[in-house]
Amino acid sequence: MSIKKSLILSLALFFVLTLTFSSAAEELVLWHTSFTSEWSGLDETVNFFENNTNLDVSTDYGPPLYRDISQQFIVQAKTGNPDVVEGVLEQMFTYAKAGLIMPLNDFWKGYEDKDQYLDNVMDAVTIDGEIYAIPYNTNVRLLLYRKSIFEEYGLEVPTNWDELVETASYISENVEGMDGFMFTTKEREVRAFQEFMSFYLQLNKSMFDVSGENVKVTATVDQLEEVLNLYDKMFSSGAISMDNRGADWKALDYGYTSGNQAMVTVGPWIWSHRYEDEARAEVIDDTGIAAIPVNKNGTPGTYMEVKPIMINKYTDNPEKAWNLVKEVTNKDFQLLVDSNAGVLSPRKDVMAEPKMADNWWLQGFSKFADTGVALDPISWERPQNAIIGAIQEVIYDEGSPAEIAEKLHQELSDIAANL
Amino acid sequence: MINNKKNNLKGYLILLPTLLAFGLIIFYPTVRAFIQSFTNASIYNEASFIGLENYIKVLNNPEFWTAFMHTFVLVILAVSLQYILGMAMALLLNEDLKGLGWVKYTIMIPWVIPVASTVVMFDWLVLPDYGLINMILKNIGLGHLTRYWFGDKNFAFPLIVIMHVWRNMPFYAITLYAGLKSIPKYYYEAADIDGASAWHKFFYITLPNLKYPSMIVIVLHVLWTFNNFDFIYLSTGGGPVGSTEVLATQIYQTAWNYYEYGHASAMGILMMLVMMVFSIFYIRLVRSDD
Amino acid sequence: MHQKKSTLILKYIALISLTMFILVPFIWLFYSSFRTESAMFSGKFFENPNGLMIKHYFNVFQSGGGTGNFIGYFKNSILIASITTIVVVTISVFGAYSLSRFQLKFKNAFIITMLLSNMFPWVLLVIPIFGLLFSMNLIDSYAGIIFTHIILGLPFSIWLIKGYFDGVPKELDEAAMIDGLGPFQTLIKVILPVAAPGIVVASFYSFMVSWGDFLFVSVISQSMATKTLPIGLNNFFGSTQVAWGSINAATVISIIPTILLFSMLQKWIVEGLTSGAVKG
Repeated sequence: MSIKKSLILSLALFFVLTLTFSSAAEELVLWHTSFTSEWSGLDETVNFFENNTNLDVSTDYGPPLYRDISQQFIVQAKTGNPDVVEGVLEQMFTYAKAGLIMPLNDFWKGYEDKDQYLDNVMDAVTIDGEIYAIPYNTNVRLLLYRKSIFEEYGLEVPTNWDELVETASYISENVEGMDGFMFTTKEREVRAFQEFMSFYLQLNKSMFDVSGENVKVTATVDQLEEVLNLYDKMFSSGAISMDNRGADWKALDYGYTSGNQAMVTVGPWIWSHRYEDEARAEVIDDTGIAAIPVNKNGTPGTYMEVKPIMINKYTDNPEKAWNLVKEVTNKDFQLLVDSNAGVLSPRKDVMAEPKMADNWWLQGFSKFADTGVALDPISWERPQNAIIGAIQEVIYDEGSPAEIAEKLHQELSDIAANL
Repeated sequence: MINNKKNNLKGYLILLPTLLAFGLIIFYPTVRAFIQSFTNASIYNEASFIGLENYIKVLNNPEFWTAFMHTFVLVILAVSLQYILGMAMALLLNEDLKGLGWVKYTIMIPWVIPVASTVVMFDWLVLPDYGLINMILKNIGLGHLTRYWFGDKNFAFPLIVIMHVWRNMPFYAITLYAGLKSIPKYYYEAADIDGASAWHKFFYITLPNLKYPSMIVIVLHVLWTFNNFDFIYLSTGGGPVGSTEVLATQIYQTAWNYYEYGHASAMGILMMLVMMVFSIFYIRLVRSDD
Repeated sequence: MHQKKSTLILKYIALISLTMFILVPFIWLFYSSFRTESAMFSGKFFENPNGLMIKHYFNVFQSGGGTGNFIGYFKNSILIASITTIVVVTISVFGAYSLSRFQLKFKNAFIITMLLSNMFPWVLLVIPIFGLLFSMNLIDSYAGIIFTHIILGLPFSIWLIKGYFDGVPKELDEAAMIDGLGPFQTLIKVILPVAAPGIVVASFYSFMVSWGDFLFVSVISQSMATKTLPIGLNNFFGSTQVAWGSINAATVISIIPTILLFSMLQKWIVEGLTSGAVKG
């Protein structure tokens, strides 16, 4: 082919492609990680939904990672696409503040299933009296431990922070190839923040007071120092290996189910590791579930996660979008998704089903569900990074926990002043 | 040189697609970002003009300067190591050694692996218990040295430099190798007759003849390294304790975690100014030698 | 010329260590892509209780990363990268010819501003570019993606091809002019054949940057119909689960076409860079 011909051909091709873009405006678009990211229940979830929906929904369910979802949702929400988006609670606060999602109070009032939802979970998706989402799963962070190890070494499950450090460092010292405990501590790792909060919330059920005109920090320096001290002791006592400094969630989840740690504080999702291979399934079956050890000055409390389903404020068809929300939060669908993932449902009727009620794992988690505390409704990105920064400073010995707590408190106050 | 009015018009005409592409995809958005850098634009509020406030905020932020220094050191280390090793590789490829064909086919692999996979791959080298490096250390009796290398304050930054070198060095090698091929043989033969040493030949024949390809790869990679955020973002997140934080990750965070577009744009414009000064200065320097 | 044995040995040592530096991470990934996940997490080099297997590769093609299909991603990648390459090279040939042969105002300024595209962080341009493509109705289309990929390849491509054109003696142009050819015909009939190797290099470069792009495709693509390999690869990273084996296998798969392409073009590329680049 001569160059001239190929030039003309390529330009022609370019124009043809320009004109033949696809745009199916009638379809509803749903972005939902349960439909995209690779997990054991994926095929079943997608098939079930596609066979049972009465709506015309695009078969493209958006990006698989929450980070990409929020980035793209913010870029394009105003085009009305996607109509419905799933996310994490922190994203819901951000979207709501940016005016990208719709308050659902009017729909909620007429919703026949509204009595099925747990009050504390619905509180979590409510900002200033406006409901912004319908939750489809919820979970709490608890202490998971290896029953066989505790039996073999005659250990008791720790109930307070001192016992936790003591037991964990005993295991690190005496059990070959195993650490007592694990925290994620990578920079910008959301899980590191969530773990911090799981312990902090025992000392104080809130970190920011949003009721007044200006946001105020309710955390005290002492409370922050107490939690940072725990991090310090965990690493300096050898309970957590120094090798694991800077590790992310993958190292924690896969580390535990590979048998590298005897205890972790984590949510119920690692249940799905049991489908990956036999060795992991054995670890899961050997797992005991207990409340997170409670600080001697604290009360039970832990980080509660709620996964909200939200409606784009710019959708062309709010009614249809609401119908879609109902379909992906109805009893059958939640039962399928949550039981596969091994997480709790915020619906009472789902939790009463034998599939959920007879599952020892879910029962273990639901026993402590009421200790879960939802985050204060603010944009958490800056506080998150400040807290992770402080954790890193402690474990890399950049100062004493007291100094760092002082600094962190100051940073949080500065952030609050600008919220 | 074609030099009359009618033909010059044609010259502009055939440059038009280039201008159009640049205008739309680069110029228009960059100008918008430039304007935005003087506003308080964020997802939470409509943009309003705030003058130089963003710039003042950025320049007064010590974290910006730390990140600036890190970026600077990273670029210098990565690009010079890439150049030195790339040059060594190119010289070796130009030798008559056995097994070279095989090397040439595989050498470009690092350059074509998507960044997300590269980071996973390096993680598999440096993870505490299952990473190749730590496994080797344990097996040769150096078990006390094992650690999560990305999580070590002293090794995280060098490791980031190594990732950059690993990815881009082959591109230098191939480009410089091609340059070597084109240097006429008789230059070297003449030097041999004069009894020049190998070093002498390298500095007086090889290097000067590689000036143009060197300029291309160096400028290209200085800008690439300056701008790259995903290597760091995905591997260390900028930690431990900020030791691998660079401008690109800070800009990403400001724009996509804090959603402060005006603030982030100001940082971007400042970074662009630095790169522009470098590019103009460097290209002038190379050209003035001609 | 006869080399001393010690020098030769040194050279081999240098060659082997540099090659190892480049290949070891990849070899480890390649090997891991055939191991079971428990073997990968065993912390032992050769422990493979269930043997080596191609299950992960099978998985990648079967489940394809979420609800997608990996073959579809593959097709999109090839199509988008190929068209991008053709368009980039076409535009660059004209642009480079113009910059090389015509006396234009602001020529040097333009050559330097071309570098602008590598200077401003792409992540900050995503929102305006989305807005622009949305208003042009190019979201979720090949054309929209190609449009942005053109810019990724264009600066280097023009720069390189201009170098080659500059290396073609002006006397050839003048001879053609005397034969009565216009500038366009001169380009096609006289300059292009001489600079052909340089065009191959620019093509390879454009192909690669389009092949590897994640950022723009992730924003512009909205459906399975336009998603490319890097997006498919990303689907193996979940929020609570990571398909380690599939990621390794998918990475190997996504590299293979580019290795094949590079092997085929290798000779051309080397010749291409040889005849043009140094003369800039």
